Amino acid sequence: MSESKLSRRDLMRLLAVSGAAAGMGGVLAPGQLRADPATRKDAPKGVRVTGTDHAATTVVDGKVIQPRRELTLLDETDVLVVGGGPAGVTAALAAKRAGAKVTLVERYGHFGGLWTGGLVLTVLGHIVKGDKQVCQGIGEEMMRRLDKLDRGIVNRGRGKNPIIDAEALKYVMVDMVMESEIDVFLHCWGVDAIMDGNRACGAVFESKSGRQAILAKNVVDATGDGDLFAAAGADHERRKYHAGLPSRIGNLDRVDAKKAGKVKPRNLGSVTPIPGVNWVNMHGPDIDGLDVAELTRIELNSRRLIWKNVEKIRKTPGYEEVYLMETAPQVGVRITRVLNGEHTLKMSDLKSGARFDDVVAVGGAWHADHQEWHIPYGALLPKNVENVLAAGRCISGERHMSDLIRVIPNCFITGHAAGAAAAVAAKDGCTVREVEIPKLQKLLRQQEAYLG
Amino acid sequence: MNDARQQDHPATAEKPRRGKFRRRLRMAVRCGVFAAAIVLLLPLAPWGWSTMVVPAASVFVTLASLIATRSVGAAAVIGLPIALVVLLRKRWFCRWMCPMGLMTECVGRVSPLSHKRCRRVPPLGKAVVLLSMAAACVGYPLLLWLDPLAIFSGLFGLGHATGGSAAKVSVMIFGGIMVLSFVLPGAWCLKLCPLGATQEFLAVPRKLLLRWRKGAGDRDDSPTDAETKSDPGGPIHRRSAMEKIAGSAFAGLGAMLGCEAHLQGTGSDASVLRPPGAAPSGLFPQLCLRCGNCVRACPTKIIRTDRQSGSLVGWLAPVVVFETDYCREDCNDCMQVCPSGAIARSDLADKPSARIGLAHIDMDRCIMAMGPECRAMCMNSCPYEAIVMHEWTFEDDRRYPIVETEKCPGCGACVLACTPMNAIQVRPLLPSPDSHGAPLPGGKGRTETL
Repeated sequence: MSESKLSRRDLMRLLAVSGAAAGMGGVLAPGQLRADPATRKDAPKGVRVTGTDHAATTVVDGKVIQPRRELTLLDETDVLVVGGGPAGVTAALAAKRAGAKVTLVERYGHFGGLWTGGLVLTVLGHIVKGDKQVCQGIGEEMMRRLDKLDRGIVNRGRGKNPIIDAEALKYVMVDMVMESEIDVFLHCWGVDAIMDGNRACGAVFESKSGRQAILAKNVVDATGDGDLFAAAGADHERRKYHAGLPSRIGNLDRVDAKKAGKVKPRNLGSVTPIPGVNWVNMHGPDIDGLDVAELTRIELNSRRLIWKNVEKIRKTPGYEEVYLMETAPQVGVRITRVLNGEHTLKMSDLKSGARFDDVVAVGGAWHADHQEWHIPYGALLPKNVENVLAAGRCISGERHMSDLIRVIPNCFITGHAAGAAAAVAAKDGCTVREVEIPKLQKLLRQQEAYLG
Repeated sequence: MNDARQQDHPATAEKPRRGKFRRRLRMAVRCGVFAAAIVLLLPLAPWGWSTMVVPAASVFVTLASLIATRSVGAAAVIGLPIALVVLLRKRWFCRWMCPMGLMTECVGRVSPLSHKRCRRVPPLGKAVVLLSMAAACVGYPLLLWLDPLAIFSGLFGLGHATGGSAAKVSVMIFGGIMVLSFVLPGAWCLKLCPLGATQEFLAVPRKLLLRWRKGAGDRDDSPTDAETKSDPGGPIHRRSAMEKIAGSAFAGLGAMLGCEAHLQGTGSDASVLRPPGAAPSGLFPQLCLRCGNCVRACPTKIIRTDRQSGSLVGWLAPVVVFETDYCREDCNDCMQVCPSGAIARSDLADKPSARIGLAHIDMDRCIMAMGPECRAMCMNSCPYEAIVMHEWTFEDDRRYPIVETEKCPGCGACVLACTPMNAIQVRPLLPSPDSHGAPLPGGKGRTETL
């Protein structure tokens, strides 16, 4: 049976990977962290803490004041990638493959961001008219790895929009990140930029270890929300957009649609690689995705709504077996901050088929219904801040372009470009603004990116 | 008197005394005008409106359009001065300007057949003018496409990607006129051409005025020289009475047909889209000359010649088809070139109010209305921001596009944006556009089908 064969192969691979990682553990410098906790030999065995030398936040004259303090240094690196979504992981891989020292930081416990954690399972917008695939490079490599897995990806024909399995992709991303020996910190929330004038030189992170700093030559902001470039003081726009909580429902292979009669359930979602399981999208209300009160409200209300909708489905004759498999671990925030960069992507450019000399990525159409559009390097580059690059949905574009920029393939291609550019800058000892475009384009082409 | 004389050809009506020099001058002017017409129609001139000049010079078209629309269009700037000159000098346009006349005359001269044969041809041109003008008074001019300058302009669409078929018909009519000019030299210009007939009618007031003044000054001298020559040897009273009866009959028929067109136009709506700023659906096919100017002017080639709609009235009139492109917001080329006012001349700033139709979204096809993720290209690609989203709430958890009827000019940008789903189509404007776009109550997510 193919199933047992594959699982055995997977097991072998896991063993090989962890073996290799364990082997490397010994070579690492003391105190240096690697992605695999198994390599850590400095875990405390249990220390009794009697008091704290940490000065607490106090209320002074009715205002909450945080005392000035020194932060511990978590890491020092060439390229710091904040955010482990499709843009962040590709950026880290691209920079690492270009020979830079890379640190990748993610706020949740898994990679993939909204692609996996937000259950945005469809890969929309990587093809253009004529069914040509324009979003390639490392993102395409991920999908090729998914191809080899059982139930990793479906609908992967020419001119189709593939649908991935979130767990399979989380595994693939972990695999790729660990193979390339990128320094990783999960459960780390980037909260501030470290600045030297208008030059970024790292970021501050909050985690269970407290507040720590990572110093870096270049920072790639792949947070999606543009948290880092906003903290660094880059020009940007804050947008309200609809946000929702997707979910997955199961047992659809046990549905007897004949019993239902004329009135069938409205939204049963779309297929996933797992038979009988569909993913159900939620458009959701327009919210400010940076307002924690709104995020809380949407999360609470969505859970109620999803449960009620599943109950509605179950009440339909023939659909009794359908059940709610999971709601997305992350609420699907579509657009929040958008960089006001050196170049702004415009719908008119897309319509006229504008071409740019500093193209670093080529965006696609959702349903192969229009031509390819160039994403120039300037769209990733902040106007007034040095050594920060935006990647993913927060790159510079006018409002009408939001829906094209925010999709998964366009996130991984801009991530790829940003990562490669940051590595080139670190290698050449220049700022990201001064990166030689032909050199960057050559590198991107070497890494199998499509630039038109 | 020069204008009271009837010769074999209007173009040869000339005082023998002034002789050679004037004849040569006139020939030179006519050749010059002919060359200028070709330059304007090709168009080799740099102005966007250049193709409009030649057909707009037709007095027949100018007057019919003026009467039908009850307004002075931009094209009348060319036609009205010519009409004024023609009021004073009978058939002045034929003699000095008409490129078609030059060609028929050349063919007539080559022909060995007698020029006198055409006298037997009934004056159908006058009948056409009476019919068309009477119909124009009701609001629907008919047979404007018989105008020689429109036919001449139509020739220049030959070989054009989207305007070729109308040009073929123009070529056929043109060829017919040329064959006729060979077989019956002078018959077209003297008896059949509606433009010539219009000029004949325009000369009547001056003739009457002259006769009245002559009668008042010298009552003994009657009948005048002009009258005896215009009706050579015939019983004057019976013939003119017959002509009057026939004329009234044609005018009455025209008025009737105009009313019929009026009823057709408002009753059953045409299913086709017309260019932006086009006259209302019933009037448009009547006002349209089929000159092909708008079809050729359209840079995105969405204006095409109608051959499919099956309506005889609208046959070969321009229609808008959103297959390859949409009506660009930064273009009003077709609105610059219409000689008859079938497409109203308008500035770019007023383009949003020049409507083609109204976008209609089929909610059974709209992917967003059905639940999956959609990039809302309909909304994002709309140059007029006429598509908005129904606000999603936890009580009404649906998101779907709504067309704001007062903003949508029917440019078709959303039609092309939604090509994979084909959920949007632009429909011709209807008397009450309020019912477009919004789903029916009851959560079916279906728009009302009109």
